[in-house]
Amino acid sequence: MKSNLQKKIDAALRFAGRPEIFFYLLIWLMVLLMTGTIAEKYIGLYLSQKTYFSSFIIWIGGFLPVPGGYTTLALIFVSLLSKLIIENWTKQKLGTLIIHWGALLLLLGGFLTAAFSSEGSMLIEEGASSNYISAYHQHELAITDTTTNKDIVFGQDQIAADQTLSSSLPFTVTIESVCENCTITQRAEPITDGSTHGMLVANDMQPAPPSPDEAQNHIGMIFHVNGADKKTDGHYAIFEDMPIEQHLDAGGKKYLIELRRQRTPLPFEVKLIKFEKQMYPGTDKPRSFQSEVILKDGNLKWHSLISMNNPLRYKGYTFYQSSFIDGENTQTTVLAVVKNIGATFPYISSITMCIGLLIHMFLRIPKLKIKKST
Amino acid sequence: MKKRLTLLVFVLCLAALPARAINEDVKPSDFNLSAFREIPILHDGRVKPMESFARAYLLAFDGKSALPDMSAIAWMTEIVFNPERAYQRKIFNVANPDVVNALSLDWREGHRYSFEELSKSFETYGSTIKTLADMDDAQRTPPQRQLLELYSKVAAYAIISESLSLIQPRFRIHDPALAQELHIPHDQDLLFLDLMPHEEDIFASAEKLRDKNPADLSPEEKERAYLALDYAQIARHEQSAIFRVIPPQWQMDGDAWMSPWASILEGHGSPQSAAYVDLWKKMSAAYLHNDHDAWQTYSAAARDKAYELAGAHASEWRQKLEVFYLHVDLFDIVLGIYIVSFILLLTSFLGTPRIFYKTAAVLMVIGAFLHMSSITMRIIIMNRPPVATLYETTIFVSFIAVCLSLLFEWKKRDATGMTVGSIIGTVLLFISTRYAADGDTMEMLVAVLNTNFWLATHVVAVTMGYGCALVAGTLGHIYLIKKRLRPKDTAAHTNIINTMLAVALIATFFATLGTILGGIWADQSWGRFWGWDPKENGAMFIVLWLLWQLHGKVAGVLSPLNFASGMVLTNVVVALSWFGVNLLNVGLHSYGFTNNIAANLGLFCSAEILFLIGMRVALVRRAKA
Amino acid sequence: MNGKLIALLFVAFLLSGAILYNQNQVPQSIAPETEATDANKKFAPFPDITFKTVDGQPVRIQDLKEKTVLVHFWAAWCGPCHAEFPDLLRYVERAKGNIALLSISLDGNYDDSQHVLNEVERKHNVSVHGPHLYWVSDRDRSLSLQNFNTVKVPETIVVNQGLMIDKIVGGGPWAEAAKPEAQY
Repeated sequence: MKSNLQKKIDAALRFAGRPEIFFYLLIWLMVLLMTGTIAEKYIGLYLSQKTYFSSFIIWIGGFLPVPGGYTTLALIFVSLLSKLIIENWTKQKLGTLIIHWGALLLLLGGFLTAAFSSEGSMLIEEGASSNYISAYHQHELAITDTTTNKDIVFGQDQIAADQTLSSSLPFTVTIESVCENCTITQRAEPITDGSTHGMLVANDMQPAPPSPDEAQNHIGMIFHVNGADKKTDGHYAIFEDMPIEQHLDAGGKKYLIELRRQRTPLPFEVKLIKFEKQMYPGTDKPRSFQSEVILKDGNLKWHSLISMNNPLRYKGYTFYQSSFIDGENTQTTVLAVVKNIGATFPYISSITMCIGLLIHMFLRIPKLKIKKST
Repeated sequence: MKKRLTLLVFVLCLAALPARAINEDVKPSDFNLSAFREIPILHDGRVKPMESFARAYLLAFDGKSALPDMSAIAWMTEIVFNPERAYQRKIFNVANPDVVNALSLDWREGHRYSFEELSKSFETYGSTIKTLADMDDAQRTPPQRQLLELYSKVAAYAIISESLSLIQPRFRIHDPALAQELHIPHDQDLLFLDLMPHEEDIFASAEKLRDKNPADLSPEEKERAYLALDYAQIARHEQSAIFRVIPPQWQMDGDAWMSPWASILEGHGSPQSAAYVDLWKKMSAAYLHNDHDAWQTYSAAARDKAYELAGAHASEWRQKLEVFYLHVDLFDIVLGIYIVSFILLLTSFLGTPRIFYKTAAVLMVIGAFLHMSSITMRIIIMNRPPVATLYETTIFVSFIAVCLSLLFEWKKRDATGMTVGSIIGTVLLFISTRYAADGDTMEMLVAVLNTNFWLATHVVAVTMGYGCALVAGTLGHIYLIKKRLRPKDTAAHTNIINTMLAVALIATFFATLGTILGGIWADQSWGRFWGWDPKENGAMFIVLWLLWQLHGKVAGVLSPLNFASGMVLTNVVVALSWFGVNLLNVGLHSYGFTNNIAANLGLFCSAEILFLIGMRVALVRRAKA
Repeated sequence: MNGKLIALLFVAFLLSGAILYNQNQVPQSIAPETEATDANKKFAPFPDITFKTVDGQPVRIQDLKEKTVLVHFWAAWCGPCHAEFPDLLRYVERAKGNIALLSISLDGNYDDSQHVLNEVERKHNVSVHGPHLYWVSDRDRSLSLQNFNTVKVPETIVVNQGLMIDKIVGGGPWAEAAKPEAQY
């Protein structure tokens, strides 16, 4: 005998698991998909993904809230789970049941990936090593004491206008302005009154419209240093990947200031021995690239070849051959690094779904009674 | 950019090629080219037969794979062996009048222009070209882009025409004194190669005349000066590197084949390559003297020598198969068969004798078989799975659609299946011809695509999904038409609905499998299963659409009529996912963009939507009546 | 309900297994692909040519007793050729009979070549008259051009036991080569 509460729960589950719910949720998902895909051409892949797919709420016109990608998928997940719990499991429905379980696993894996995975890149020059991953989109401001090589790092959320950054450093940094994408123009007259130092003396940095292609955006900022000494205090400017290093002297030490992609340290080191690329003979079309690396973790020295479609997997991290940079004398390999606990889900769920689909097809299609016409 | 500038210099210099009498009697089509067309050459990263090379360039320049009066291979022989005559042939297709005007040329019917005309125009407008080349592509107008493309084509043509200049008889010394001084035979046809050892002497001899007034030179002195000038002109051709017929000989060559110029001037020569170059010399002489017997002997010897030299770098039987494949042009035949079948089936609907149906059936089966043979030949020649480029998707999807339709036809025997098959086969093969017109359809793939396993699984699954979805979509059209024309035949209607359901299920299976395999491939290659990039989203959209339709039907939310209507729109969904995403040109999947696609795609989608609206309105009217 | 519970537990088990598996993956190492091409490559035989040395002696590569022959092309007007001679000659000397040098000069007048050789002998204290050195003059360059397609110098074809195994364009690595006799 079911209690009232149980009956209410059953009714709720039955309602949530109806195919109509999925039907209407799918409409919205397809609308999101189409809008987001077209938007990619105009605002770029990263921004479009953040706005339409990896979001909970989308504000249309800035004030009207509609469910975003995550919300829609979460609702589909709930509907699917309800259906599976409430449904009577019969042999007829075997195919669809397996498909739906597979889909559930896929969504679960997607959730784990979205919540817990991290990815970045590693650029290693031939002969050099690296023990950190650089984020794709997050930036950080790093001030390094060149004598001790220790750096103080301020994350993306601290890089904003009117923020004062204080730390164990003998000076404070006050950010005056930040530009997502900056252009540098030469000043007509350099500023010689001693209030400005570094590249800001002869150049001005202005915000520029952000490009849809993330890689083309160079973040920059203008900041003011206080408390170092009269000669060093003043306005400075830096931007991402500056060709000339920016230094400042304070308290007898020399500090290096960098705006760079956020770094996540790795518990081990990867050294690039040699990078090889092969083009199709007589063309510039790349045929294959590979990086010969040695992974050093304590006493372990693991020799490996990373090439397209053949990554290196270690301690939950996977290293993929992504690209390369041609240098004058040496090549630099660009590896994509991913740490994703949800990585195996798609495999399991795909197999499950396909088995389910096959079973369903074999059960259903003969019954569709496609006869010879008279 | 540097490359562009050097090319500019070439074209300009070509206008001043040492004058040579043009032998009008040499007709390219008269020569027996069966051996020449099989000579292997490296082009676009792939070793292919000369036939393929010739066709690719003729398609690029003219837009056709043969000229009205000669085949592509005959045309190519003239370019390399008898360039001066080739320069006069009007083979460059300049379709945009704006481009013709920009070059101060006269518009003519057929809009075909010769190298001679175009190189003169480019010489005049050299500074314009340079400015355009320096511009950012986004700032160029379409005619400007086309002008630059034309320039690249003309430059490529120039380079190919210079390929054999070092072994062509371009020099003759009339003055016995000069000949003796240079230790060169007098009054004989000489090749650049013959003169190379005497280079210093030739220039030294002309040096003496440097300070003299050109008008005051005696005929003998003029000969000296011109000899040096002509020699220098030909020497510039050393950059000619497109005609890579000499296989790699040494370790340092790796996989790279050399053009005759590069082989000799960059130290890649060997006794074997010397013997091979000698055969080309003999072919050249035979060609210019119209000696057909000598030509046949030497071209066959050259072909054999080439394969001997190439060893493992070229597979003779594969090249022969490719020549056969190009010749036979099965896809054209198959397209014709599908069109004829469709017409026969249409007439059979009007109540004509059963023989029309039977003929159509036989034709469709033959067509499908030839279709399969052609795809198989491609697999063997390219040594990779059948679907790797956008062109190949069109021919494969059409094959899948035809096969599936024939399968259902076999069960139902009411001509519906065959009609669907013939329609889809015709339309897609027709679209494929547009892609084939781009040039060589057998291209090499970039590194990330260069993996047989995923090409064989993911891409094949996705295209099978497309094929099945298109069959379901076309069935939707037939359902609507039947419902309008024969509203009382409910049994037939239910039959089609059931067929659509079955096909939609199969399509869902392949589309889902393919999409997931794509995700797994992406995970293996780049570390993320799903990146929301347009191609991935497009594939997902098809899956979602089909799921939506199926769930709607199962839940009873969609009536059979609405389900069929949804199936009609499936064609739009597939088209957008297949071709439309390439227009967005974003993300890792952006390849396969051709001009006019946006317009044609828009036309197709509009047509489908109009059809649907029209049929629904017609059905409502019929119901009211 | 019981069956469903079991199914749910099974799925949960699969999930945890999947997560753990992912975390503990052992690094995969792929052995470097062996360069199979060179070992299996078929080398072409050196053509049957009878050279004539400047002393009038006929020489056929196939008849020479030295295992390796360096067929070398050079000219007096070529600076890098002068530069590589001392190391090249010493290299042949060190081989102690395993290597022969067949040096073909492209000069129109062999006197110019001889002049260079004499200078090399004098300045660098290496002999140009060793038993394994063969000097050939290709005055009209027909030999080098027609038979070898060679126009630029220096070039060296390495012939081992009658087979042409490599070509070196430009000055060769004669000084760095460790054990000339074991090289080939």
